[in-house]
Amino acid sequence: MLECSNLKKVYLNKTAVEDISLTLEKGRIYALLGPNGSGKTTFMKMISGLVKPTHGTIEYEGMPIGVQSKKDIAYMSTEPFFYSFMTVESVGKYYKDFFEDFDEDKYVKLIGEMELNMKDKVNKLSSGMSAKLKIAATMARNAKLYLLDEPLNGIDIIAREKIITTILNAASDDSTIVISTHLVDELEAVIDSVVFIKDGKSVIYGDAEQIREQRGKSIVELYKEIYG
Amino acid sequence: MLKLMKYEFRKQMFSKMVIAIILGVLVGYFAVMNIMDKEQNAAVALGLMFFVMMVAAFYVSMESLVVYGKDLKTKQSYMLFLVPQSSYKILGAKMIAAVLQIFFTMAIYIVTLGLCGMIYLMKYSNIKQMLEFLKEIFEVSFDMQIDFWLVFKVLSSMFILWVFIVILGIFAETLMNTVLTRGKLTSFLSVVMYIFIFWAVARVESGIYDGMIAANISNAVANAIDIIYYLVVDVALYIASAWLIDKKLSV
Repeated sequence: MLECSNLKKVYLNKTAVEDISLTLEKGRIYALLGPNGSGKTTFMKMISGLVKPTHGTIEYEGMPIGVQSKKDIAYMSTEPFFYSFMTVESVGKYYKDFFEDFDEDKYVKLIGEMELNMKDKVNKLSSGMSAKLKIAATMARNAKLYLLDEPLNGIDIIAREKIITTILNAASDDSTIVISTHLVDELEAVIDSVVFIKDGKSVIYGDAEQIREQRGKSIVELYKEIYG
Repeated sequence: MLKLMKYEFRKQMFSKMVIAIILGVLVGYFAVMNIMDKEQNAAVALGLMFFVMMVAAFYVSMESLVVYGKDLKTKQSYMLFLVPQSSYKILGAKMIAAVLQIFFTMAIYIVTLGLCGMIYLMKYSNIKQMLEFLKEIFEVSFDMQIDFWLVFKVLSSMFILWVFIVILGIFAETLMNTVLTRGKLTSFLSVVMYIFIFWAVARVESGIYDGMIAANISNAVANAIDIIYYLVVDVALYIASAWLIDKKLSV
C-alpha cells in the first residue's frame, strides 16, 4: 500500500531522517518506535504530505503523495492543532466538510465515550481532553491508513485502554495503522509489525512475532537494548 | 474551495465585527450631534470615522498576512495542509477570501457613509446641501478640494493597491517559509525582497502609464490597462506562491 525509498529530510544543518526505506502492507498494525528526536514524527509527516523529503520517494498505492493520498491517510499529530475559534462540534463539521470518509455518527459516539462536550471550546480543553478530541476526530474517519503520533501522550491510565480499544476497532483487512510511541509495553500485545528508528534510520524493521523469535526477546526488551 | 473560504472568513470575522461596532457607535454619535444641531461635533465624528477607516484598512491587510503566517508556522497549519485539496485551491481560497474581506470592509465603510448621508438628508432633505457639507468637511479637515470622480478613481486605485499589497505579502511569506530557510536573516531578507518587488512592480507600472500618456492614450484606457497590469501581477504572484507550497513547503 505504501512504499518509502531512501527517505531523507534535512532541516538547515540538522538531519531529521537519514535513510528510511520500508513498505507498509494493508491490514497491519505497525509500531514506530524510537526515543524523542529519532525521526518518527518527521517520517509520519512526510507520509501525510506535511513535510517534503529532501531526498527519496514515497508512493501510496503507486502514486506520489498528494491530494489523492490525503483522502485516504488520516494523520494525528502529537500536538493539538485545531483552530482556536472551534468547538468540539465544529471540529466534527470541519472534518465532515473536507474528508469524504468522515463518519459523523462515529464521531458523536466517540465524543460521548471520551466524555467530551460538543459545546466545549477547543482552546479551553485540558491537554488530556485535547488528546482525546484528536483521537476522536481522527478515528471517526474510515481511512485506509492511520498515522497516529504518540496517541497515548497526555492520556491518563484509565482512558488509555479506551483509546487502544478505539484504535483497534478501526483495524481491518483494508486499513493499516501506524502508531508511533515510546510507551512500548502498552502496545506490545496488539502490534503486528515493528519499526525501530534510531538517529533517523530504521535499524530493525519487520514482523513483530518473527523479530521476537529471531532475537529471543520481547519488543520491550529490544527497545531497552537499542536505546538504553 | 467555498468550504476553504468559509473557514478563512471564520478566522478573521471578529475584527470585522469590531470595526463595524466602532463605526456604528460613531454613526450614532454623528446622528445625535446632528439632532442636537452641534455641527462641529458631527464633523469631529465624521473625521474620527475616516481615521478609524484608515487604521482598519491597514489592520485588515495585516491581519490576512498574520493569519497566513500562523497557517505556515504554527501547528494550526496541519488543519489547512492535511485537507485533500491542491495548494492552488488552498491558496486561491485564501487570496479570494482576503480580497473579499477588503471588499467587505469597504462595504462596511460604504454603509457607514450611507447612514451618515441618510442622517444628514433627514435633517436637511437636500442632497446638494449634503454634498456641499461633505466638501466643506474635506476642505476644513484635510485642506483639499473634493472632486467626486477623482474620489472614485482614488478609491478604485486604493483597492487595487490594497489587494496587491496583501498578495505580495502572501508571496513574501511563502518564500520565507520555503526557499529561504528559516535562518536569522530570513525575516529581514523577506522584508527587503518585499520592498524590492513592490518598487520594481510600481516602477514598471509607472513606465507603462507614462508611455501610454505620451502615446496620447486616453486617461480612462490608461487606467483600465493599469488595473489589468496589477491583475496580471497578482495572478503571477498567486501561481508562484501556490507552486512553492506544492513543491517546497514543509510545515
